[in-house]
Amino acid sequence: MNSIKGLIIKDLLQLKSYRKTLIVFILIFIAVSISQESTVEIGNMLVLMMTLGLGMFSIATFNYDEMSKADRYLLTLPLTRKQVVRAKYALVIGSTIVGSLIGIILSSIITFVMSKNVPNLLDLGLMSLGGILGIGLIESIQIPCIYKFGTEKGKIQMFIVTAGIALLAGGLFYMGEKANLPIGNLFESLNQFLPFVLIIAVVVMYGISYRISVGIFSKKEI
Amino acid sequence: MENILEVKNLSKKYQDFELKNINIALPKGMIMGIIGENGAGKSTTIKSILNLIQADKGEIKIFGLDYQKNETKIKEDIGVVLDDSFLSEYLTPNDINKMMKQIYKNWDETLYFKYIEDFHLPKDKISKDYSSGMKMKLKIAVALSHHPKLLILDEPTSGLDPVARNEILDIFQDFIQDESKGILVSSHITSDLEHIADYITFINHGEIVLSKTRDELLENYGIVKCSAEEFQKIASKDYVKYKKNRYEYDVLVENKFEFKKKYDAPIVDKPTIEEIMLIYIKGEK
Repeated sequence: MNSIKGLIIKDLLQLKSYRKTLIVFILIFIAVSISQESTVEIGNMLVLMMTLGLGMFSIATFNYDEMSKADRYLLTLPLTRKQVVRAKYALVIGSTIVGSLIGIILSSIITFVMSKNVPNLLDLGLMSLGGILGIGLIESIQIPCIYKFGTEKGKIQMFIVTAGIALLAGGLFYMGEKANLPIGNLFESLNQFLPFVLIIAVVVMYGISYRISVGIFSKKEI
Repeated sequence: MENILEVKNLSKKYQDFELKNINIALPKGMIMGIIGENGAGKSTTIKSILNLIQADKGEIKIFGLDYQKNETKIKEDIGVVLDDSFLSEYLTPNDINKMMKQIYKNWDETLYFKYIEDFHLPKDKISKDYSSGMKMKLKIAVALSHHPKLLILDEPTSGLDPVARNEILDIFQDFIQDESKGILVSSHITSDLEHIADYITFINHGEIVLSKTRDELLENYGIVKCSAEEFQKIASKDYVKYKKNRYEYDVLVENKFEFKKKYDAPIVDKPTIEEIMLIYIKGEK
């Protein structure tokens, strides 16, 4: 556990050079959100942007590692390949959750200051879960691609894989509708359990992605 | 003598390169230098030993333990310096300390900062702003600060000026004062190894062509400089290889004393490790 903590500390310390950029981004997010018409939109926009923004931010640590060929060096330390991958997932998932929490707090404050209304935390929570699902989908595809192809090639592969999944999902949906399958009803019934569906989807996505990444990294010649 | 590192029949085949049956035995208290030209297989050997690349076959024992089965445990007691790989250059020595104390059970913060101070490395400056010598010293400070028993160093002096190289070689010599420790170091700068190594292992085209003690190499081997006519009189079994120069032949012999006796040769030069390596690589038989 300490080893994973050490790796996360390394990544967080690397990211400190981005401190000012991060603050500027948060200010921009706030400014863009405030420009929305209703306080509900402000809240939703800020939560979504903070979740996506901080989630993507942590992915930058892969670039640092690649620049210094750190993976090779890390594996000479008392660490296993699995621990190296696990630490990355912990960082990425952790920063996404922290991003959504900061988003909820900031949007609650802004909503209260602007309208004197108490913000609807359930709505904000749902919005943040949606944001986590969105960024989770991107990260779940992106991280194994980075382990397999590197940060540069990984981006291209990620777009190919994402486009492939989107096409496949769209195709299945289209075929389902053509075949008069009750897809619309299925989505409506799922809507009742939306928070649980989102949480399960996020856990399953990251779980599959983690297993693929461990498989790739365990065999990788570094 | 007990071996701190043993490599048996290590092989790895790539499309365009093959590491063939590498055997290494490094006794405790000794420094073994691996020499060879660029691309000879020095780094591949080190990476295979460290399991960074998966060998096709071979057995590696460190501290008497099977490396594959005890990798994490063994890595607690080895310090590694790689020429082309380290932590991000956006980390300061202070940052590295925060990370390493979580990773190594034996991390010695006091010792680490002593090295940092002795090497005149600014604690709060990112290593991106360091000179090449300072960056290498930082890698060495990290490699030494968990009291390792074995150092594995890949080209630790490449790209450094003579003063920095000398300082770094002194550090390795201090480390080996404790005779329970050992160092495996690869370098293409043979003069460095001539100063510090007890054993020299020469790798060429993925194969070990010789592995002997430094004294055996420098004291017994010899280079005979002779004319073409004189060279014709030397039996093939009495020399290792020869190199034809414009006016003379350089003939490498394994035992200069026997050679002197047999051929009544008055002068057989004492070779440097670089000369031995060059004749092995460029010479003919």
